[in-house]
Amino acid sequence: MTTKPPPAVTWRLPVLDNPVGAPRSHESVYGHAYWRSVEEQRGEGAGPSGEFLPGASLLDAMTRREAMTLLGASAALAGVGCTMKPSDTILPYHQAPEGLTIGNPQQYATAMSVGGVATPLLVTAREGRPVKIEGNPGVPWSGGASGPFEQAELLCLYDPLRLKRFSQNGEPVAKEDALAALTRLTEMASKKNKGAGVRLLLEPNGSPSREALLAALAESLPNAKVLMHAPLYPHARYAGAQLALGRRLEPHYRFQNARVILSLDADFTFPHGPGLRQARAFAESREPGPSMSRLYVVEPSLTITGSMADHRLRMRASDIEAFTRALVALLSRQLPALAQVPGAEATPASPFLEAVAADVVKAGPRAVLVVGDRQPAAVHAFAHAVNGALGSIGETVTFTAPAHTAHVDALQSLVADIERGAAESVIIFGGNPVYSAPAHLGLAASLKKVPTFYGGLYEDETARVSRWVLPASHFLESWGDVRLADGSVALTQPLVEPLYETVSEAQVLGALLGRFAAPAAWSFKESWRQRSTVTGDFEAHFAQWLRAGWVTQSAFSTETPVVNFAAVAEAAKTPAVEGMELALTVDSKVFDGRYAQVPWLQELPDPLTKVVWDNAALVSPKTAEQLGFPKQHFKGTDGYRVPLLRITAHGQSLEVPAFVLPGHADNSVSLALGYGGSSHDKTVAQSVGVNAYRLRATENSWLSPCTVENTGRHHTLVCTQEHWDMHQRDLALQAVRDEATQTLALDTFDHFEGRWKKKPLVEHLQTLKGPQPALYDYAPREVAKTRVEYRWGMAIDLNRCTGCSACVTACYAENNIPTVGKEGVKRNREMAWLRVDRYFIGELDTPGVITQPIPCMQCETAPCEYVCPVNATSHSEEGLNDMVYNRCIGTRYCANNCPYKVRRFNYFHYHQNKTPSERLAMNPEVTVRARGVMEKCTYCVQRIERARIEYRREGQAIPDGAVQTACQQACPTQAIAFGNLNDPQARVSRLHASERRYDLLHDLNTRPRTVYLARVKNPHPGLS
Amino acid sequence: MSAASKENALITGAQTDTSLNQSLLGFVWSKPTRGYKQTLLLLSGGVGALLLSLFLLLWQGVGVWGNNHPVGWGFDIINFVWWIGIGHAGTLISAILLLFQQKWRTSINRAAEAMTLFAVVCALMYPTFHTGRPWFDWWMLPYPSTLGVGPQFKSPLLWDVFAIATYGTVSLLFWYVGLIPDLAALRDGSKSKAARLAYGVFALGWRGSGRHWSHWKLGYLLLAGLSTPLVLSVHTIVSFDFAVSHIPGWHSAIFPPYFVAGAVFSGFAMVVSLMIPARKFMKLEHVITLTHLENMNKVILLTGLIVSYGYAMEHFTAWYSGSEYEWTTFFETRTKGPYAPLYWAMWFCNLIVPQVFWVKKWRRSLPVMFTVAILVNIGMWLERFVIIVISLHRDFLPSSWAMYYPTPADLAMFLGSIAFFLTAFMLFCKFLPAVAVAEVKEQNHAEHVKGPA
Repeated sequence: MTTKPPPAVTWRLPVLDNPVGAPRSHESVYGHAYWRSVEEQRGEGAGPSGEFLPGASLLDAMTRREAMTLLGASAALAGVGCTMKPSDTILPYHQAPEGLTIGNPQQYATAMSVGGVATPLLVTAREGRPVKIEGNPGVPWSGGASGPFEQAELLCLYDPLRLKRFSQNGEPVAKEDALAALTRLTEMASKKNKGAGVRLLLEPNGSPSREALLAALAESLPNAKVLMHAPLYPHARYAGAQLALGRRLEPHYRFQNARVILSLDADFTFPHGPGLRQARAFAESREPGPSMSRLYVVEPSLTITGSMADHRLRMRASDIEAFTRALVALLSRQLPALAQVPGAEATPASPFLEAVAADVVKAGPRAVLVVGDRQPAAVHAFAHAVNGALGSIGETVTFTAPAHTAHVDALQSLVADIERGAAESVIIFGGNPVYSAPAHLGLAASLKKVPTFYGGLYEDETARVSRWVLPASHFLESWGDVRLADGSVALTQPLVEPLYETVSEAQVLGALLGRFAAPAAWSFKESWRQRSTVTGDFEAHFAQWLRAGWVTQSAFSTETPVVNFAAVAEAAKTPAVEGMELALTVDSKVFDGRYAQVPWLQELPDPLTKVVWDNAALVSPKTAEQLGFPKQHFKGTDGYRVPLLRITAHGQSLEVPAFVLPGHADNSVSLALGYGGSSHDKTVAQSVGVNAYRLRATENSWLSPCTVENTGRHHTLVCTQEHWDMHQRDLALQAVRDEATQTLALDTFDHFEGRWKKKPLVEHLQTLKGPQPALYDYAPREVAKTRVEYRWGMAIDLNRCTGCSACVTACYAENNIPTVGKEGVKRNREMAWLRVDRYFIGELDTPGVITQPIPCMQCETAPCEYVCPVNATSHSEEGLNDMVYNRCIGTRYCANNCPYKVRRFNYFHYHQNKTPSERLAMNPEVTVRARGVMEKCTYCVQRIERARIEYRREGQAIPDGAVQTACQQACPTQAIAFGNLNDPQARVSRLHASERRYDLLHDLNTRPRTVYLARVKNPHPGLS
Repeated sequence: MSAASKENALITGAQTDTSLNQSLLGFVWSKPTRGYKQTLLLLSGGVGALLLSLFLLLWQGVGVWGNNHPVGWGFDIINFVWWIGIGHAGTLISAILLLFQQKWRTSINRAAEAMTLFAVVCALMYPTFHTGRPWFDWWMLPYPSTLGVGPQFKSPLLWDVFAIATYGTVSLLFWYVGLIPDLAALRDGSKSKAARLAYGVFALGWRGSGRHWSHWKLGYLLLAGLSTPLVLSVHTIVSFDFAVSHIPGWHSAIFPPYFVAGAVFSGFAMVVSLMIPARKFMKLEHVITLTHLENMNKVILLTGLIVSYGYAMEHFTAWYSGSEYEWTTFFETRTKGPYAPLYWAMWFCNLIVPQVFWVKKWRRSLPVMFTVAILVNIGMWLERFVIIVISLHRDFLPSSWAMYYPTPADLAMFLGSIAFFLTAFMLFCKFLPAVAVAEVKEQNHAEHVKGPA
């Protein structure tokens, strides 16, 4: 599975060993010897007649064949040019890896952990190189979903700008020397104070094998300090549990059991790690029916969870504590257990608050309060108290011990230790603490004072201040293990040998222990063997764990804590933020900043703002007005010309482009962390966004007071969607459930009468599906329906779609979709085959939000097909609207005539400048499109064909579920169903038959194979 | 002759065959003036810009233009339709007016036909190079492919290929056949041997015998008959590019007649705007009289009204259809959208401005008609912008709505094609008789020699 670069082979030119004019041999090429005189035949030297001197004629000097050879060589050389591809050697495997058939993909289970959030994965490899990352469906915890971050790790692996060389003080050193330096460090430090001056700064991941290594290290360096730090670590979550439940516990929400969910600033469907599972559980609770859940969300800025809410209250994040106290006060009247927790009576009750209180009490144990990690511990504690009082603990929320811990003030103590001379050498692995530390901490300056070792993927801010820089291995190149949120251990196994000379964290720790010579795989397995408690054959167990991707039955046991109401009552009140509030947010694209250089993610539109390649200060329309820019001016291909705001907090100020987001709380600014890193100077992420970490008060604070002023200068923000409302069209439909009658109705705009009308959903949807009157007889197609074995179709349940955009990234990864950069998106040339449309409904301050993924509809009567002059897009018998790239000449007529606008044109040769490492990420089953051709969603036809080959060999029909499109596979909420419409039992057929199903733009009679299921809102009868 | 008929005379002054030969062919034989050379030099800069933009286009891809998703067609197809439309006047003047025996066509048909040809060449540049991979354009031709893949006969773009190929061929033939007697005259009158040889080759041995004239007349008439349906068919088929699709603003049954009227409208405007300077500089005022120009202005007025009726009907059908998408396109996007100024400018140029031609004085005023003709040309360009860009930039799903802006490459190609057109026209005037000499002489005989004195 090695993918070493091929040896450079130079072109050998034919050696001209017969210089013109040299004496010729008389031996002709045919083997006969011709002679012209007896002397000549005897070899007596009188060769050619003396009439011409040797070399007088060029032609005479060569044979006909030589002339042809030279002619051919000249022609070949003329064709070689300067950009000849180096020749590659194809060698068969001497010893083929287990289970490998050349040309067939292989899947390996592995796992990743970033900043303490872990996901089990199943990675597809082609001929030894990973090409696609999925969630591991075999791990019960995961369900097989994956978010954008999981998908994007692939590009991190192949990033051409990864660190490739070990260095000391900026000078390259050998890997062995760097690791030997670490061993030496331990030796010296153990002699001196038993390592009291050594600091390790690591990312929390709960890895048992790392714990074993650290334990071993503690033997030689008992006084060394290991600091666990992640910039987005949810400290308040555990502090809240500590407060209310007496110990640090990890809550696990079982939304599938919930009837009423109150989210207090919690974006629990955030598509990453546990969010994937929570989103799925939540989606299950949303099935329209008697047990459909109701979601209340209180939050400052719109999140995807907030967009799913039945009732959303916009509120400054720092006011949510007061809201919670008021809620507790209301509830304590009805829930005796809460009586000890008085809350705050004084707060005036609002209809929202009363409705929530009544609903929560009514639902009892099937209600659950979820608190966001930005909220102070007190709010978490209150939520635990309410959940406890309702009896929800054990029902809708369970607890286990947390998978890992981190230090609240790791960076602060590190800086303090360095400054007072206590820390003499620092070893940092992973993260990029210099970038993510608050500006006033002065971490960079401190680290420069001591010998610092830094293992990282990039030459980032931390690498720049570190004395020793060690290129880190990507998780797809290393052995390891991580703990998932419920404590189960997932194993990380490499899919590829390190692309460059790099070290993994285990190797760094091994070097500190003096054992860096051992092979990583062996050390890892031995570590497990030593700690193993399994009975029987360890090898068999280990192999099984590797295959499954996790250590079965390794989850922590569920605990049933008892709420200490008295302690909750004592919870300290967080001082309210006066004036403008700065609420930092976790970005759904760059996370803590580590994905800033991934073009897939930078170009992924933010789920709510649809902004790409930037972060922005989100403000409410009213706040914008106060700041002197009532609306953002859309300037066509110049994007949104928005004002630059100067935000000042804790003595630091930043200039941030402003973006007006409907539904944002007033007097609050939301700003995503993770952008503006200066490590990306040479990369795609150059000058993208601003670094909000600079404004953090402490290394884990989220909310703070700030001052905002309008600089009067402007910045250009680029969005993929410039129109935010549906123009009263029946596009993304949303029905309202009436609790009393259990009926669904929707508001639809009657264009003849010019007013909104309430109609029963089922009745209205009848007009949006089914056959249409047509001039032509469609009988042949109906016949075809019964003749073919498969009729592929898709159904997208808007009631499940949160708009998280995991599907979009999965589509990019599966289908080799190019990114076009901020300039390209500005010109509206983004290439996404699948996009998620987001529309706002209703008032500016209290908008409803609906998201609608739009892939190709694979219309049965496709408008794109008949307009192509060269037959480059045509229909397959099984109903796919095929795109023949080779045949396309690029008239773009098909894209013009596509009413869904899902066709994408290669305006330039977007793949032209891919580096060799980037090319490794390409899916070999999907054509890489050249400049000048049209492309679009194919329903992942390559996956259909692969399944067809597989099942045809067995003589079986492709069963339901055997073909999953990339978007469907990634979707955390299973909103996308794909399959054979000829199979009435298939999930897609059942969804096509659903009463909520409708066709988008049905009146055009395109007969789409992709259909939608209307979203259902479940409002409280008293709040409308 | 009465005063009125004198005023309407198609040839002024007492002309003889010799004087006509001299005045009509004189420009070819005269040395190019300084102004002529300077203009040509200036225009060659524009042609250079055209070549540069084409080079950039082929080197980098269609992305050098402003086209995007959802506006897949921008300046490329706007200019294509605009140029094709301009060509129509030539064919109409040559063919239909010949069949209707309109005498006033004689002095202007040659130049108008040449204009047609150059406009077709300009037009063809766009669809040829606007494809993503122009080196595969030949896949649109129905050649016997060993792959067994043929072009798609359902696609209006393919119909375009046939329609425009036919149109170009017939226009060229018609123009050339009409030129033969005049080429012979040039051959006979030229002083340099090279010129005599060159004109002689193309004159195909014309000696002006009775048989020649008789065959020529019949052939010319037959070609006129062949061209006549083309006047209607070409722009009808071009309009199908839009009408056959289902984009609101495109999908409309009124497109064929209204496109044809629009083409004639813009074509006549172009003829007028070219003829006004040409007749002055080439001293052709005696054969291209104000009457000719006035007649053309009448056609502009008529076709302008037809075009405006087309606009009105489009809006009526949009309203009557009850389709929300149609309604939005016509009554929101066009009238109030971001490109609304262009839409209203179109109404102004194409409906309001030509109304000045109700007044005879203005119909015969050179400055007035020149201004009107230029504004009509601008208006008809805007019409294509309105149809193509405004319809595409906001169609069914608001999520995909986006703006379109041309790039410098777009502008270079557009202005460059105008420069190319003018250059070709100027070279034509220099090397070929811009007026059909034989026909004018015939006309002269009919009016002055044979008629009662």
